[in-house]
Amino acid sequence: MSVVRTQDLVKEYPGGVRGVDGVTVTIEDGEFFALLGPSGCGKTTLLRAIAGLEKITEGTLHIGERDVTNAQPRERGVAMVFQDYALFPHMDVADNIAYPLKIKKVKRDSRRRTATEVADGLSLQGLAERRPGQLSGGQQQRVALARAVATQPEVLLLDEPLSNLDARLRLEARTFLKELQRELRVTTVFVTHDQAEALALADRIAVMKSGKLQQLGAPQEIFQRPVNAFVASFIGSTPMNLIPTVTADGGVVVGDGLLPLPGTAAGLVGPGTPVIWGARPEYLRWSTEQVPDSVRAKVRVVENLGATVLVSVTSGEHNLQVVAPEESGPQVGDVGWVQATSSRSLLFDLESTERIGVTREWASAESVLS
Amino acid sequence: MSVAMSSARVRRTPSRVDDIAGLGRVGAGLFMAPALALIGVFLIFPALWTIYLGMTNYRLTGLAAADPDFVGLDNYTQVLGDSSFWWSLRLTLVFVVLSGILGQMMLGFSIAWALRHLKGLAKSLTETLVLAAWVVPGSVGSFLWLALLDRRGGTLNVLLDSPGTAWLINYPMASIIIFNIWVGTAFSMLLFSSALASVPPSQMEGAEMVGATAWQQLRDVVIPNIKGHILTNTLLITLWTFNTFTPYLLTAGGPNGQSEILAVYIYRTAIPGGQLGKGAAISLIMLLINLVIALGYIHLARGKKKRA
Amino acid sequence: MTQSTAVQPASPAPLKKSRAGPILASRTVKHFVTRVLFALAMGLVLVFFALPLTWLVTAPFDSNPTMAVRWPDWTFGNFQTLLESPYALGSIGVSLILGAGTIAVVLTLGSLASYALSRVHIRGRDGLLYALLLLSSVVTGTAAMVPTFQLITLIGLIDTHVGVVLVLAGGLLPTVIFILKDFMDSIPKSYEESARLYGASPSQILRHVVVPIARPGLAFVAVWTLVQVWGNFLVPFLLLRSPETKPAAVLMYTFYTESGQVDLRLISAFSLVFSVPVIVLYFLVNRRYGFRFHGGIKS
Repeated sequence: MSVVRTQDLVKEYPGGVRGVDGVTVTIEDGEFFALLGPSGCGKTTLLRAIAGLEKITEGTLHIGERDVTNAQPRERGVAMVFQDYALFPHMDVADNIAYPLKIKKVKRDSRRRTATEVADGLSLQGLAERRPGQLSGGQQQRVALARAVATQPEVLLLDEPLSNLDARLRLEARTFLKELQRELRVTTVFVTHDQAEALALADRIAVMKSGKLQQLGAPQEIFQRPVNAFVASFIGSTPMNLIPTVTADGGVVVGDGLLPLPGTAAGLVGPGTPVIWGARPEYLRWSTEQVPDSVRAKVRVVENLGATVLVSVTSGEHNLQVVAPEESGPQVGDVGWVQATSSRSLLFDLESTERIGVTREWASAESVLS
Repeated sequence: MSVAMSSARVRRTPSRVDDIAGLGRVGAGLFMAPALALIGVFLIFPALWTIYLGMTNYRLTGLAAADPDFVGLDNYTQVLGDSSFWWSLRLTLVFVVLSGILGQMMLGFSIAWALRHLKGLAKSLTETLVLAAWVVPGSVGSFLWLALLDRRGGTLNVLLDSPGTAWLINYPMASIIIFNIWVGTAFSMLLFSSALASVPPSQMEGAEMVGATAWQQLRDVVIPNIKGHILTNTLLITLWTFNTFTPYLLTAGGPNGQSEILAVYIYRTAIPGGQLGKGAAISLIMLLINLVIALGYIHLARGKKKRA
Repeated sequence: MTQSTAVQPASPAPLKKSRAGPILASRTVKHFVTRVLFALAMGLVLVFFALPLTWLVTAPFDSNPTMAVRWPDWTFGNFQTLLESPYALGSIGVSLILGAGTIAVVLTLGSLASYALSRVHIRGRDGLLYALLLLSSVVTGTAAMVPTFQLITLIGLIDTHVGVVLVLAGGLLPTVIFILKDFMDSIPKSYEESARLYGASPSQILRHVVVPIARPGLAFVAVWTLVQVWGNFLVPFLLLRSPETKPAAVLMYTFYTESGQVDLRLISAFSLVFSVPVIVLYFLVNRRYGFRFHGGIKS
């Protein structure tokens, strides 16, 4: 069983700065788990704390049944792939992969055999004699992975595994990584600042900011029901529209008019409450004619996204972005209507930025469980 | 007329992007001439002239000072057959190996390695002290060691409670070797400090993660990564230690030539000994040895630059 | 993938819980012992480097200094003795003169040459630079002392400051050109291009545009040169005879070898006064530039 469990884990630096500020997560056995957040949020620090490269200041860390809070890296049964792969330039591929086994004093023949097996499994046949400098980025990554899995670790840690690859290669590598993890069934924790990557790869995501956990959940949940405005704006390839405004009788004041009250907040706010209204550009609709649940707006900027266009509009004193199909072809200066739905929009408390409706969902989830 | 000419001249300025100031080859040559002339007269000429001087019987005083004779290869054969020359060369080799390579480099590396994780007072204090030994002028440094090793009242004898031990007389080579280590370690320490900092931390951490001990990390990660630095440092230290004259200030080659490294041997042959011709011959040999070492260094430095 | 079904030869050793106790204890003990040994070793190193230096900070302030380091009988009287000594302060002045002279020669000739090398593409430029580097490494003061002595005698500059300055400058120039060329290379060429468009001649460009921008580099070279000249013993020792012409480096040596009775009050004060400027300079430069150019050869 390789469950990774942290309990109120704190990493404090001299001077009082907290890289990780009281994080409690349980990573299930065999799970592909993402630590996601902007730079400086503590995700890498947390990963390194799990690895044993950072000393844990407070709290505990368990891997399986064992308390490894103060254990050395080699005693934890973890393996790590660094962002720059950290391949030894003076050793060939085979020796690089076999290095951990060499340290564990595995006999030469045995470790060579294991290294070859692992390398083959990662499509590195024929490269055994090469030096890291003679490999492509993708191959280097696979060698680093091979070295990590050669010791059959209980937990695999990946620090920004895809960020050193070209954009084209990244998508291929992403699929490769997902397949590999499924085959190996090893508990994997990876760090990324790329939300698309996290959404695509992870079974569950932990969104972090300033050392604290913001939300923990499956990709779909994080995407559709973000717990606060930060998570809402961080997730999603186009930034979510977040409008500070007030509620009114029958809806939310947005731009020149009223848009429907988000369903998740139904019955929780009265009219005249200051809120933040949020909706993803993909879930808004641009119409050339007036339709129900819409506000009138004027097109300022049109950006081509390929199959769609990102239209930036102004309605009253609010600016919105809408993703429209390419054929609808709005032009700068056009006037039209932006339509929203109650099922695909969200409401956040203006002061706390917490999503209105979150506590009700959790309460009801708890009541289901109890 | 002149306008047309000057404009024609302007238009003919070099189209090479490199020559911004419009110096042209001639201008560049003029700019470089004074420096090259000085170097030529005071660096190149002496080096070449010594070949000739080595073939004369120039002396400091007396007849041969004003009117030297050409003696062909006599000086060279004499020097190569002189046991004191070979003695001096042997001493110099011992000096370079013990004080330079084993002493300065190993100590410098050890200090750099020990300090790599330290910060704050301990680190700056150590670095400052090591550096101060290097920065202090040679004649002051040598006097500080004279005082330390003084037979009557030196600090060392006071500390070890061994009054009357004449360190410089009984252990001249050891004295100059240790003195030279004291002076020169700073350079190796700094060089290795920056070399160690250039080792990618992720490789060190990668090794740490798989359970490598500090010694294994040193062997498998650090040393392979800084091989180039080690090599160039070795050559530089060899060159400098071979050429240092400062031990003269400590023992003047004595007693009885027991610490007469080549630098001192040349000096004593030529000036107190007055045999300028012979001194020039030995100097040529020294120049040739320098050449070999320096060529080695240049070769390595170029190789590094090409790879960079 | 055969990983999951392959026989594992040697899997990571599980934590032996039954023996966790003694193992932990012995590890902490080993850790502690290593720490102590480390501190001891570092202490020895510190003592090694500090011990000779201690005399330099105690003896000058001791009314009756001994060869050994001892807690001084605090006084400034030795500096008074220094002021009264006929040649002492004069020699420091000489060191300054030699330094200034060498700096002047080296900066002027050096900046001209390095500018030309930096800006004009001459065939074999790299070869020339490496030849210069080779030259200065091979033709050291020690290896060339005999022919240099002969040469200076022959051209009548023996026992003159000019002779010493020329020899020192000649030895330092290759490295200076190397260093300055690097500085010049890093100056954006756009300044000179615009000056050129306004009609400035190359020497005007050098003086009005390049030199002001290269000032930090020139300052660094000046300081480096001063440090080299300040401590240089061999060249003035070789070429200067009369006591009033000798710089501090040589006078320091004659103090304890030629003047019969060794006057420690004078020597200690003189050593300190002689050493302080160069120590201060070195650390100032380190603050600014770090020790990238240690010893004059870039590593």
